[in-house]
Amino acid sequence: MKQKKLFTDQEISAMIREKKNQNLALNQLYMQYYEIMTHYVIKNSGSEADAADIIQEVMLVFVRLIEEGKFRGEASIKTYLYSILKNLWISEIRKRKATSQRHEKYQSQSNRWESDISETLSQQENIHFVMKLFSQLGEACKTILTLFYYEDLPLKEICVKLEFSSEQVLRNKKYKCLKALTDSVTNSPEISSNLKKALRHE
Amino acid sequence: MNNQYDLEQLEAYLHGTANSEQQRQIQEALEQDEELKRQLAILELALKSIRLSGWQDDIKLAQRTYLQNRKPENLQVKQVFLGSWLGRIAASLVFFLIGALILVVMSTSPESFLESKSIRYRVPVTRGTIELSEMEQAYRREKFESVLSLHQRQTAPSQKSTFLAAMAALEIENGPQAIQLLQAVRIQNQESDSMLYEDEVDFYLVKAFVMTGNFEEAQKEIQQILRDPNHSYRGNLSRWDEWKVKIMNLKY
Repeated sequence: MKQKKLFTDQEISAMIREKKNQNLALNQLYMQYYEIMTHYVIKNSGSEADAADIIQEVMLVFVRLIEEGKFRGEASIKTYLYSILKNLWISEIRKRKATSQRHEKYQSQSNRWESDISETLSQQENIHFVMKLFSQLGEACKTILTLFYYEDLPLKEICVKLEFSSEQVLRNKKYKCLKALTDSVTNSPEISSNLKKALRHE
Repeated sequence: MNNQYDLEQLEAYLHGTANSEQQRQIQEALEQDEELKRQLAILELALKSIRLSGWQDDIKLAQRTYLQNRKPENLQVKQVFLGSWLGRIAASLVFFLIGALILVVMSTSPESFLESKSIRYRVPVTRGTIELSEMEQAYRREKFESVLSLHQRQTAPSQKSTFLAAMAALEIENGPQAIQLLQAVRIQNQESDSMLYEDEVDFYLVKAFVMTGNFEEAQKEIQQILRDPNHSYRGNLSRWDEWKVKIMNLKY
């Protein structure tokens, strides 16, 4: 996996935010930081497999931070990744020791970007729950929603790609798929309760 | 579900693409309607989760690609991190030992050995002793050739006389003569069943053998001294000296 040119932190952040060559950005993140993060996990009583799992999660949280505008370059990407990793790994260790609570308390934060990481991590459980509900939708629904919301393809293009008879038919199908997902979330007592608490700022 | 607004309208509000009138209406409704607020939060969470599912697939792909192309040395370094450090320490030690060994081999020579064992024999003078023999007086004045000449003139030299001549031979660095005289003392002792200068002979033979390049004999003498716990010169020699003589044997 050789990349001739190394992108700067700002370039990587822009590539992820704008979803332009995001795979190149991810490849560079792996190339530059995978070993450092693996070393941290192994040094702190984890295994190579633990590291592989947790690093995927670190990357996902980092993408979220960029998407939500919480990566503002106050610290380097390396610092962000390391901070996310430490928080996630400490939380994982606590879970393994069966001393964790439902809602994890993450490391104390001394500045804004660390607070952002902590806040993002605290919502990660809900995100994973909904991602799981999304994975349980039918293949057609998953494809339509992914092409529209992740790939950012216009309905016209999706219509051609998936061979829908008309854009309106596709629009209706997309609406039904999204409705099915939001209904699953609404019907989940756990998520509902978490959201209520979050909306009441508890 | 609040029936006032459908998903498309809420989505348009979230993305800021609703017309300004609808944007304002929804904003006002949200301030009073907790249920609408919850629906909006659920929609936001669902949309975020769809996007992150896409990201998760890309991340998995990037990780799989990285791991497939991962350099084996990276893997090894991380898996045997402790071993690696121990290995580095061991390698440093080996490197240091090899360096030290080379230094020892380079610096070990008969000259350096003799210099380190430069214990000159001194004629003992006890309180009240006034008279010294002519040989002893010559030795004390460092007239070593005279000592040897006086010894040669004697028809039946004593062990003391022969030993003093051997010391004189050592002083003028005549190794072969020193060996011959020291061994003569041993023979005299055997013949007379005495043990005069026995320890001194052992020690100075080491010096004489090194001086003449007979390292195997020097080694034997050292071993003999080290084997005897009561030997007078045991403290002047060590196993390290034995190693030095071995090194000289290989080197010269």
